[in-house]
Amino acid sequence: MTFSQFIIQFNGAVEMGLIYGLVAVGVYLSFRVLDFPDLTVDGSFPLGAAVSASMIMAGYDPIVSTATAVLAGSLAGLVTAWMSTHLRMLNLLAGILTSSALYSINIRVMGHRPNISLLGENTVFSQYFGEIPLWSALALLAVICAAIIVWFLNTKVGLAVRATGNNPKMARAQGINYRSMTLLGVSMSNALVAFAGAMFAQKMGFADVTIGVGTIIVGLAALIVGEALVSTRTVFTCVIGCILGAIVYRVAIAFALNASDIGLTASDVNLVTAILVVLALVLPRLKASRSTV
Amino acid sequence: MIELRNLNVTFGAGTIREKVALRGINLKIDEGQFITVIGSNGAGKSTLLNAIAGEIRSTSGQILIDEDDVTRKRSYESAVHVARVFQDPLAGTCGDLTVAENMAIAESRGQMRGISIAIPRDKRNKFREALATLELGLENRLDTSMSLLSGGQRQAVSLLMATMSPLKILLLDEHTSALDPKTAAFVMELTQKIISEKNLTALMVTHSLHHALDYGTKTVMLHGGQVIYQVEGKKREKLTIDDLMAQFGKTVDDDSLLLQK
Repeated sequence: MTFSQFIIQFNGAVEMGLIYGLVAVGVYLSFRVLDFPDLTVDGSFPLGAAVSASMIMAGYDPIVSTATAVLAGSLAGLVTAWMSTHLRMLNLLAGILTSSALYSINIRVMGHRPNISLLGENTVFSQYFGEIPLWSALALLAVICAAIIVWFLNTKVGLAVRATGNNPKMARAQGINYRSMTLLGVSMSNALVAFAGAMFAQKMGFADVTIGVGTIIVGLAALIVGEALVSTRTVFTCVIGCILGAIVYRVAIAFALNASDIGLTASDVNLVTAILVVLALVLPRLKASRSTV
Repeated sequence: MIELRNLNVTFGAGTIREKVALRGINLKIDEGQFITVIGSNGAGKSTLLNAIAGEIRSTSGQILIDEDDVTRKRSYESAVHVARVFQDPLAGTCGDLTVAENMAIAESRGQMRGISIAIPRDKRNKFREALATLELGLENRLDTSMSLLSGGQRQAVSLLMATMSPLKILLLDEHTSALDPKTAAFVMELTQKIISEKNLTALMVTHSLHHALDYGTKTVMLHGGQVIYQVEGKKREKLTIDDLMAQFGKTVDDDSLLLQK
């Protein structure tokens, strides 16, 4: 690999890392803050891509298109959370159902097609960030999103969301409506993921109904890598950890898959990721149990 | 004033496991009254507290808090009037949140929570002062994760948190029973101090007959979901534990409670 190839590869991995960093922050909100294992993500990521791409194709401003994508994502989250809180459905199942339904919806959104090309269309990047390199535009957006989430989780209502996830009994006793807090948190999480999907579509120049497959695993992997890298003491460090984790994860995967002598190909990414997540979940427990025995 | 009118709670009504937990409870709790509740296991003590808190829906009857009918309210709606401290010292606080964050949550109990920053600088001083009254050195540990505190410390903070915003009644559900004797005594003294300083109305379930008589202004004995004995004022002052046990003996066959002090 030449140096310039290396730079291109590295750049691409960092850009993808910044996009999936937003997914990781969304996953952090549902899995960690709310203790709500939400699998809607696999559907809301392509939903964000589909909505923003279709609207851009229909001639809407990229910002309006992206904002609509975010709104669509939050609605998807609301549906999942509502099925769990009001229909008393198992949260895992609710997420699977929504993401499965979103597969059909995404095809509908894209005009009964499985994918849309944005070739030659204006995107948020081409129209508003012009000369700025893509990675720094994405970094700026990631920082803004992270700042909003950190701020939110430190507001009164943000604390209520965190209490709902951490100790529901205490939350109720303090007058916190766990249903509305769950609805709020899960919808915010999916809004972020849909935003990431919209960024993905506009960076790659296409939306495809299959890009959501395994999004949750990538988000979880980034979250776990982040937790290993940065302390989980405060919300701030957790959110920063998510984004750093996603970048490190993407860079590591990019180079692992390109090291052709190990015999891995691009299609092995899901397998490698799944193994990584399992290792990351199991290793700390193994270490802990060894020290207690 | 809190008033319970003919309150009935039945679990699993109409099923083979039907259990009547409360039968026609009538109880008036005057403002500033501190009632201790005793009774054997399954007497309905916790059910009574949970019904007032809105955690359990009553089958029939009414619960009034200052003329406000809260019978059908959910626990998070009742929280505007009702503050609680649980038996489990870990239940009253969020382990993953810091001491200050827990206090900020308690400070807004029963109020709308908006998007203002939860802990502005001036709040920190206020929390620090409140924690200093516990004399546990927690005033210097505002940013410590709650999970790093001991059970006794967490229960003391829970108690403090329960009284941080206005309340009509404080419900204490055997809140010292999971603590070691020394810590239990400390938390009990603290309870007494907070209740008398703030002139709170309180209902305390206890398994200790000592606590039932030494603290509070009135003692209520439950058995089989009914109030079987209540005593207050002069008569209560003269009452000894043996008298109380004799009361139990009259109506309670199960002697497990007699063995507990």
